[in-house]
Amino acid sequence: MSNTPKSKRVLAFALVVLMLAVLFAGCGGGSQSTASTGSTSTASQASTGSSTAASSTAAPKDDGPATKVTLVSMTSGDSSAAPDVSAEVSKISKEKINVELNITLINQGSYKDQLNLMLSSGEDLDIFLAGLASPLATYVNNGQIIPLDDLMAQYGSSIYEALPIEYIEAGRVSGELYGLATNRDLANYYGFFMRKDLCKKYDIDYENIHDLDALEEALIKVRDGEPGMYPVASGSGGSMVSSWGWDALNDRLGVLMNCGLTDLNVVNLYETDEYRDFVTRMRKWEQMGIIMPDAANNPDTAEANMKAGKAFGGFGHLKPNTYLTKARSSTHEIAIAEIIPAFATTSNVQGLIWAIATNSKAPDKAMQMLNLMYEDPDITNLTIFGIEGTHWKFVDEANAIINYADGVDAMNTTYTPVLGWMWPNQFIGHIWEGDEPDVWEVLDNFNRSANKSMAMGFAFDNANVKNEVTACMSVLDKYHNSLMCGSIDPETTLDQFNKELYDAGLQNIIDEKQKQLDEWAAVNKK
Amino acid sequence: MFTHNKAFQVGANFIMILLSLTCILPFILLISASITNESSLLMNGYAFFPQEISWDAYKFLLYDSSSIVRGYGITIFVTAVGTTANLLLTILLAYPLSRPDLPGKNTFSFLVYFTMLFNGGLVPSYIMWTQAFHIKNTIWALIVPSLMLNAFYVIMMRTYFTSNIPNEIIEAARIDSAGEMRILFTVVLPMSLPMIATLCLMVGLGYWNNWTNGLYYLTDSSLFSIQNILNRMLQDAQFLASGMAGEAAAELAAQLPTTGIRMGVAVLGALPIMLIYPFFQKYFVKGITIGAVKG
Amino acid sequence: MSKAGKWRRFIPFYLMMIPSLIYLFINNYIPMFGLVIAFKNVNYRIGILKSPWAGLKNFEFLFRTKDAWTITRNTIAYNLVFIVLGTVIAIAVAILLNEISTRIVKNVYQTIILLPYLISIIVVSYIVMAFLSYDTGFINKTLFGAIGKEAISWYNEPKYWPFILVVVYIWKHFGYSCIIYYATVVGFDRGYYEAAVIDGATRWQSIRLVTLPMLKPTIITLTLMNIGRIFYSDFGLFYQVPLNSGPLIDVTNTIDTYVYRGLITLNDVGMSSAAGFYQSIVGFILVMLANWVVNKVDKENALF
Repeated sequence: MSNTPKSKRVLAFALVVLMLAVLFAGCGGGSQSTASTGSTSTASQASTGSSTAASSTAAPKDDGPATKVTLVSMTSGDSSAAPDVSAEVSKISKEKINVELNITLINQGSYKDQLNLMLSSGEDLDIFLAGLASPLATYVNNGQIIPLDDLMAQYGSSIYEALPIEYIEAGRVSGELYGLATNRDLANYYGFFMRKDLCKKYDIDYENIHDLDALEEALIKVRDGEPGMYPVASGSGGSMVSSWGWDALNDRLGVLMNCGLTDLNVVNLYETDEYRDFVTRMRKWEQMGIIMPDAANNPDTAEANMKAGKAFGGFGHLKPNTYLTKARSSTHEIAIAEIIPAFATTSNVQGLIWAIATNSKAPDKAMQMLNLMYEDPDITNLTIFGIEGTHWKFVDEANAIINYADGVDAMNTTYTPVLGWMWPNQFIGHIWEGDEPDVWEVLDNFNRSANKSMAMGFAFDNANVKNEVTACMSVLDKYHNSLMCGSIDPETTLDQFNKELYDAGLQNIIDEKQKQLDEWAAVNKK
Repeated sequence: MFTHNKAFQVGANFIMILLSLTCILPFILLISASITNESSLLMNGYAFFPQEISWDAYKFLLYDSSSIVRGYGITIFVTAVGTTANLLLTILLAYPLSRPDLPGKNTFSFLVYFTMLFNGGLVPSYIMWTQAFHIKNTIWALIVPSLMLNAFYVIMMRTYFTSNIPNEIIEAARIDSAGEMRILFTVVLPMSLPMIATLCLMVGLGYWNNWTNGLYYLTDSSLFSIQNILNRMLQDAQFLASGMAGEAAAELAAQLPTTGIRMGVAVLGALPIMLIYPFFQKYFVKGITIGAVKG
Repeated sequence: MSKAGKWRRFIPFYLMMIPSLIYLFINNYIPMFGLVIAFKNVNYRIGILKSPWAGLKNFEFLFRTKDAWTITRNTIAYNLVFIVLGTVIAIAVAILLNEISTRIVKNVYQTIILLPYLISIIVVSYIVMAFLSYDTGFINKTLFGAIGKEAISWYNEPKYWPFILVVVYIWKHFGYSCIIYYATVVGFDRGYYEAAVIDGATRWQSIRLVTLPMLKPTIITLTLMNIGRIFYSDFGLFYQVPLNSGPLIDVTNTIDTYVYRGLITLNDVGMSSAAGFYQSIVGFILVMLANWVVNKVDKENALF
């Protein structure tokens, strides 16, 4: 009997040990470049030129070579004209703050992956759109973004003018400011959107529907009158609606009820009466044939189902011009029943937010650039719409209404179908034809007048409870969507759901969250 | 060849027909869905014959025909170059490992197999390829990372060499004082055609279907493979349909048949393979036996 | 032969291996330094290598959950079924294909059965939905409708899904897996079959006594390699095909889907790296064990 097997096993384990030893000793080809700042080989990246090394630390305020600032954001469709747009923007920014801006637009399908790689490998990157790939707090914990308080004090005056102060403050993590909100719908109200024509047909007074009982009556009428059509389709990825009056405090594991307007007690959402009532009603509706079957698994949006004539309407998070946006995708006129009045939470703000990367070699110039973007209409119009004449033209110059330039349309444009809500301040930009002429004022008022959760500005840091969060997420997936869509019976499953959550460590999460919230409140709420 | 047992033939054919049906019928469903009107799909589900024909999906996908053509061109180039490189590397590694008396054979085999077990993850690979080798936004990004040699195929090839190439033939060639390289290329490979064809197919498929290399290493869209292009279009369509794009894309968003587009992407991705595969099949025959060395 | 001579004979072989070994080193071994991420609390500001050690903390989430047993059980059980059933069917189809006498017919079959492999798993999930959707699916609407059976809410009934997932997996892979076996069978020396026929063997006996034994090296090799992957699962199959439906999770949750569900919001690179490491280590140990067993029993066919 040869002893090869045994010696081979020894060899195998020796190899593993050797390999690990090599790793621990810190050698390996890529090691030098993992130190995030100052990685030399990034100079070879196509997008930036050679001036980074020269100008970064020595940048005097107003003369000398322009500092290059790299901005990374999302797009959809063809945006090959980004370099041209960068050039145009740079003309303005060079003159005003001696900055040359380089815009890199990544397609939204690849954004999360590519952004993660850029941040992890120390590539040249100054300002970027955060919140989509990870919560803001995760970037902070990973050391990927820098605090902005000092920079804001020095350079951020226009930002304070553009955004209401509560929304700026909502960009804080652990007390420090890390992100800047964009001017978009920063609050939401919740309700039910439906086909206006059928409302007329069945005499549904949608403007006066403000609770679920009234809604139920209306839906029953539609169910009886339209065979083959389901009154309710699910939206929001099969969860029926993303929130129904609770402040999710980042992850729905421990929330504030009543939109965070009453108190700062973190509770288990899934044990509350409100939740129980909602899902019980949904179950009732499902049994009554009001909700589409397989609603929790349906990959199509409610609007698509409405367009096909399969659904009457759905729940949603709404903003002032929702009736227009939903009308586009569902090809019917939309009526809206508002049930939960508008409120804003930290998640609204931090879901999409601008940050400055640790990789940045010129953070002060990056902040100046951001500030400029919040105040300068020309830059805003360039970054959102593209170049005048090439991509867009005025339809009504007096009212700043624009449309595609001649010969250009959504399919062949070389600069993204407009995504204004990603850029810092679309409110100072033009208005695309088809939107309401006063859309920006309306939205701004909406933001300012919406209720704000008492926890606005608090961002939960889950570093201490990651295991529990992971385990709870699995449990959530098992029950939440199905309960919200009425596919399973709350009578038998709701208790089981909560038990599993507690077994997974929900109490630890709630305790940790309450502790952080109390600490935050002591400092911030006098 | 054998005498063909009639009953056996009928039985074998019957089973194969059944299996083939299970494979082709869903594909027909796919094709049908890609040309069906979106609303009709949602209302009535999938059907073998489209209830309402609509070419919108293909109109969207093939709108920018020049980029589609370029995408196919790049993919064909990458697949050809990559598969050839992979084949060479695999054979050159597998053959020595198949020699029973090679010193250190087991150690090397283990080193090769080990790569199938442990993986450092995407971030270290990315850092290495982009910063040490500078392949970002070059055509090499589609060819070199992870696809150019795979331990699985090396081991398969090695097994094939060991079981199907009798040592006597190699010895006979050595006695004729041929060099090892020559033996490999003139004696062993002609006898290994089925496995080489298999490798070509599998590696080629790996290259053809791969979209992650483009996702991670390319931001320049002129270098996209066809999978990247198609995937991107699908994602854009879904993004538009979600209503998140602004007023400017409103009309477009309303018309896009996202399900149809997804099916169309699948069809456009699979069809070329279906057309090429038959050309490979002629290599699935026993190779020529040099000399009549019998056991 | 002198010792020097013996080594010299093998030089051409070593030279042949060099380019490939270089590639393996670069592509696979250098990035392995990233395995440390599993043991660290990575802070990109100071770089991966200087980040503080976290010991085994990143691994805890895999075990500190009531689902730990479920996901492990599911992953292994499904993989065992896939390995056994997949191999049997792939071999059977390969042999059948080989028996088909008409060349063109054989090629047509071979082309068609490859189709499922070419269709992405997301599209497969749509096809499955086309069959199992409650109101418009083929089974509920057409099949049950015709025989008057009541519709089943497939996506809410866990008991059918182990079966469904196995069928989908086999369907998707058998055409591809059989190619290796087919290529091997085609390469067999006809002499063995002729000898068997002369000895009076029937078709079935030829298969049992000649083909299968000659396939043994291939079967063992492939199975050993599959054992190394036993803690991995096809994410698309277990997450997207069931449409991430809640009630099905207990029978469709695998290690990969659990990690995905948990980390999709957390985006913690240390934890996801730890999950990968865990899967690798278990696979490694199992393969070493299996390979050692094969070494005892049938030395030639061990992997290494």
